[in-house]
Amino acid sequence: MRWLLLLALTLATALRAQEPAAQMRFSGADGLVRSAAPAATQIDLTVTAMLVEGVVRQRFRNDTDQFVEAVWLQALPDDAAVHAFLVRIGERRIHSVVQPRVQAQQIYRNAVQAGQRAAIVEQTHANGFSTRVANVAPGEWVDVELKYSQVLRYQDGLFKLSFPLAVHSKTAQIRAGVCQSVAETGPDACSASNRAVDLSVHLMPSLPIKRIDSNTHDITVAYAGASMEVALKAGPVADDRDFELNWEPEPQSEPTAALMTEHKDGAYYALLMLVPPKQALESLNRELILVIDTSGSMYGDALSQAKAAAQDALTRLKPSDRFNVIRFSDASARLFESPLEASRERVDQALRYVDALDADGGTNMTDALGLSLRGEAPPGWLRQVVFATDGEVEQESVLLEMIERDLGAARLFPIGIGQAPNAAFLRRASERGRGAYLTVRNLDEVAAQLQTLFNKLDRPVLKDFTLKFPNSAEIYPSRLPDLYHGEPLLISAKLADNQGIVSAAGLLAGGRWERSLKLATPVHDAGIARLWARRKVTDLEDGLRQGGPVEAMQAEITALGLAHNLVTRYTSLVAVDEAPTRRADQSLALAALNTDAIALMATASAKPLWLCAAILLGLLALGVHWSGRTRA
Amino acid sequence: MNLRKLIALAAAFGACVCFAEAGYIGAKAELAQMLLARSFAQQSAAQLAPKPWPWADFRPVARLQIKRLGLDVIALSDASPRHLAFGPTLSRVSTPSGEMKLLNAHRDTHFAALANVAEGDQITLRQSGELRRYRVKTILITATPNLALNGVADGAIVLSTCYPFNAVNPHGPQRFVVYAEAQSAR
Repeated sequence: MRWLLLLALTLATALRAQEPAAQMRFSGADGLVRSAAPAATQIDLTVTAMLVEGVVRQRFRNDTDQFVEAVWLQALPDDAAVHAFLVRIGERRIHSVVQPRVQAQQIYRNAVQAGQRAAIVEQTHANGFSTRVANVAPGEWVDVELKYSQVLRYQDGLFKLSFPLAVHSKTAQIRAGVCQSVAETGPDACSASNRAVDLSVHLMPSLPIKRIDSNTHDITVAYAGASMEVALKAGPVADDRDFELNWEPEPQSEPTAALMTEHKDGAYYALLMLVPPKQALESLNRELILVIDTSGSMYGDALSQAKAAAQDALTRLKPSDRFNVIRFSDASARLFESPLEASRERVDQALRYVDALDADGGTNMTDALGLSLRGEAPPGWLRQVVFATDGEVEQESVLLEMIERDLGAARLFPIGIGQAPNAAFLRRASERGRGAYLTVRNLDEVAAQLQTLFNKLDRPVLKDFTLKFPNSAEIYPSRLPDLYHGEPLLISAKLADNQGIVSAAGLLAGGRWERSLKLATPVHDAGIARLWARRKVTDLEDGLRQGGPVEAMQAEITALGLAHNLVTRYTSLVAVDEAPTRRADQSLALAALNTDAIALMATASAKPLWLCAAILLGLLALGVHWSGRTRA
Repeated sequence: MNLRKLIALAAAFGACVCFAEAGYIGAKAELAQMLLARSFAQQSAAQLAPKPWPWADFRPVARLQIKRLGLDVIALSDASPRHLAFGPTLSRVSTPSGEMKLLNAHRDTHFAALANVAEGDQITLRQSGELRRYRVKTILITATPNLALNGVADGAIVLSTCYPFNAVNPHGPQRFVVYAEAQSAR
């Protein structure tokens, strides 16, 4: 990934140095760089179960009488991953290919040496991509096509598909020595409003649908067998508000499972979706162990918010649930000797205990983790260990080993608070702990995010989930998680063939749950294979971090990246310029995916403030003194 | 006349107090660094450094140097705004490409020298008995405290401090960010 940045920097510098400003830019009366807005935008979304494959096509024209550099921002849904793009300018076609990193680097160097540039597609912030095309002739048309994948949201019993039609962000980018806040140069310059947007959705829901509608736009729905076609009722609309489509599956009293397969390059890939019923089933009994970091660094907002969230979680325990509270800094302490049933008095006692927690001392996680994993929940209770810390993890491997050894039937939910949660460690810990992890980088959000997690933990629906495929199958995530209320599970598998029955089973509060699912006719290009590949890459990368054989994993990740069009640490999306003229025309672009941003700490002492005050007061003293003397 | 004298005296006294406060911040920053350096010297690959003073809730973890700027400071574990009075804080941050190190420090004490940093400057970081070299690739001033991590190379280092350097308001939104990549062993 190192070269990606290099690319962004060098390329931006190169552009600036090479461009005769007058040719590339047309400045208005305000002196701002203006770019053309697309004349038309066509968005086509295909939804298979919970996978979205999106294609965004845009077209614009250079209406000026000069050569311009066209820049525009394309907002995409939050977790969209771009996997292909295509730019057409006049007779040139610039399209993306996924290349091993070394080759991509070579292509880049060649292009730089030849002094070429064509298009850049880059991720400007969490959900925005900017595309630049240089040297567009007066009156020329430019077409751009972007393809992305995404996993759908499910909330309050509704599937939600959204597409943002406006960009708002204040995230700064690391670029060639200048601050480029997207807010400054972005939407105003690039997404002049009232462009016409047309949008269509091809929906293969895999579960019977009760109701489908959009709160944001008027739509028409056409049914074709098991699938539906959604279109905008009045044709293209202005891009003044985001698009959102909701649908509700038929209510069920038990978890429902759906199975779809995709055929790609001689292999079959399956996606199993397990959806909890909308009406809350009787939850499994649980044993909640709350572990709170009270080291000095939690002082202030972080601790008070963590306390509030913990208290909220405590008040929501059922009397039949069991619980304990553990605090730790240099040493650990627990409220009860062992977890106890959540009677009214005990919960009150725990609330007071949490209320009195104070931040002081260092961070000794090993002890606290050991304490929280000690013992087993009685049969029929699901132990959930929620471990909130802002500490640096110093003995990663010791902690991971401990989880492996002592977890038993418990589930671990590690939460990283503050500026630098070690997400990689948290994820590994949660995977070995068969739970989920959460990072809260913004201290203002601690309470809200913890609340969301506790909301989920409140209602475990199904545990000990197992899947049996007729033939050998490579399944990700390799450890099947539990099913919680309001949160469907997606399981990916690669299969040798497409015949037979898959049996799924698990344990509900009311007894055993079993389903048989038939492997059916495969669908095309639904993103099922890509999701499987992405999950496998994540799995391999984890192995890599844990000191697995680098060469073997590099080869495997590279192969997956190339086969499934994925940007990984060893493969990159590169733009290739197929020029009709026979020059050695290879230009490039980059797309850095999976972006993330952090909030940088406020780092100024009050020293200048005090100095300033000292000088002002000093001047005042002198002034008063002096004016007194002149009068006298 | 008397009142005037009183005001002048009060203002002069106030000026002294404020001046002392400013001096105290500077002195605390310097003194803490001396104690930290002493404690850091006892660190080795096998052993964490002892706490610089008995009630400290952090340890020295690394020594950061930019020779050209005469910058030489000991960084602390546990990134907390409370610790910035004593030295830069060092944290590991997960990025899409792997991991980077992030150092925060006050613009008016430990990182004041960064005002003169230039692209190409060499940074060294000694941590757990290991010396790493970095070269400054980019310097940027952000309009908001947010920093996107998508372009950050694995193993890179980012120094961040508030900006502008001489601003009076300690809570401004701007940040001065120095981005440096690890120099390979080649």
